[in-house]
Amino acid sequence: MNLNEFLATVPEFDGLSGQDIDTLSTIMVVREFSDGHEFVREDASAQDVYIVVDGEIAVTHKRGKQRGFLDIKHLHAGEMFGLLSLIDDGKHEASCKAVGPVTVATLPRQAFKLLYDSNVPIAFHFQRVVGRQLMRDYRTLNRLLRAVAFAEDEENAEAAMRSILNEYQGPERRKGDRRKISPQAVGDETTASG
Amino acid sequence: MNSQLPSASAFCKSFPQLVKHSSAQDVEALLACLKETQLEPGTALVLDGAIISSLYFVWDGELCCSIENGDEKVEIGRIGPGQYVGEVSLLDPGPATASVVAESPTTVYELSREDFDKLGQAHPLIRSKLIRAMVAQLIERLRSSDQLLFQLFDSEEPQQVTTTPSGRSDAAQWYNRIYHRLLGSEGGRS
Repeated sequence: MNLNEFLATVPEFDGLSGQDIDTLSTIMVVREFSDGHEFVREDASAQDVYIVVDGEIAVTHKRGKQRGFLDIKHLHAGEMFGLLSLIDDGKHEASCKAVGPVTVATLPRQAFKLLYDSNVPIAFHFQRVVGRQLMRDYRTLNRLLRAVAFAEDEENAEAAMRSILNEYQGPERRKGDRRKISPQAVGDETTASG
Repeated sequence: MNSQLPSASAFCKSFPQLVKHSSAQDVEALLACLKETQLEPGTALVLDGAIISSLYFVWDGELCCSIENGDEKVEIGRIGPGQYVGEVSLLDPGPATASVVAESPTTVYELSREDFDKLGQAHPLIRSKLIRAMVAQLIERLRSSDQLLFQLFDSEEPQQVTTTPSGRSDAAQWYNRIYHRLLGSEGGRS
């Protein structure tokens, strides 16, 4: 597979020059992983940035010892994860695992940091990607909080608060970076282990 | 540079997190793009739902943030010196998420989207450093507000929070606490 050509088709990389795409493709590593491989573990420190080349990745969040996992969403070809935690230098608060065999391109932490600190166009591009994602979170949370603030009565206020819990997927709940939010991926509990 | 603008060192002292990756020269270039605005009490800087095209650095005074629904208005926090408003205009242009109105005589410094783009063309590294700092602060604020959401979400008995006899007032306290964290008006500034 030609990684260079693939990256040029990834919507998140719109706006990067051909030269910047070349730079990225030369330092990214493409590998195949088997079903269940854990790329990102909840509570672990950020390591690398990943782009799904082929297959499916499940993003889950622990809900306490007795309550299993929340299945937050599934990622597919062209979607990126791990970026927010790496920029933030924080810990992952969601896990990302392969669902079936997957092919993933990895941008190693050190290479990312080097690019982020030295290549202005690429750094700015990653910052804009994250900035837009954060603003989407901000707007979503704002919209849901408004529903609570302007609820007509106690019953509506409660319903609005529950909507926040069901709809909002802020950065703490989905450290895997995302472009799209799949409605059916929200709110389903699983009992996956790990 | 506009003589009304602060010195680079004074600006750095007021907005330490925002310029922590920037050199004195970077800050000078930023200051050259700013425009001072004085607001009388009651003057709206930003209107809820209106398209916002500038970032405003609050230099002195106090502003009230509120959300509106028809005639109904709910105050969600206050901001003051060392904080900024309108990062949406630079990160993901669109409608403002709240109204921001001066409560006292207030001085803000405006960075328009247009001037920010010009700054980026002339000094791409400065633009990148500013966005980097803004993203870091937004992550911090969303993380802080998320923690409150998590407390509810991860609770073994979430109904405890949502069905108290106080009902609506309990909800009001709850969303106010989240809003304060979202605005960065609780805890550290800038």
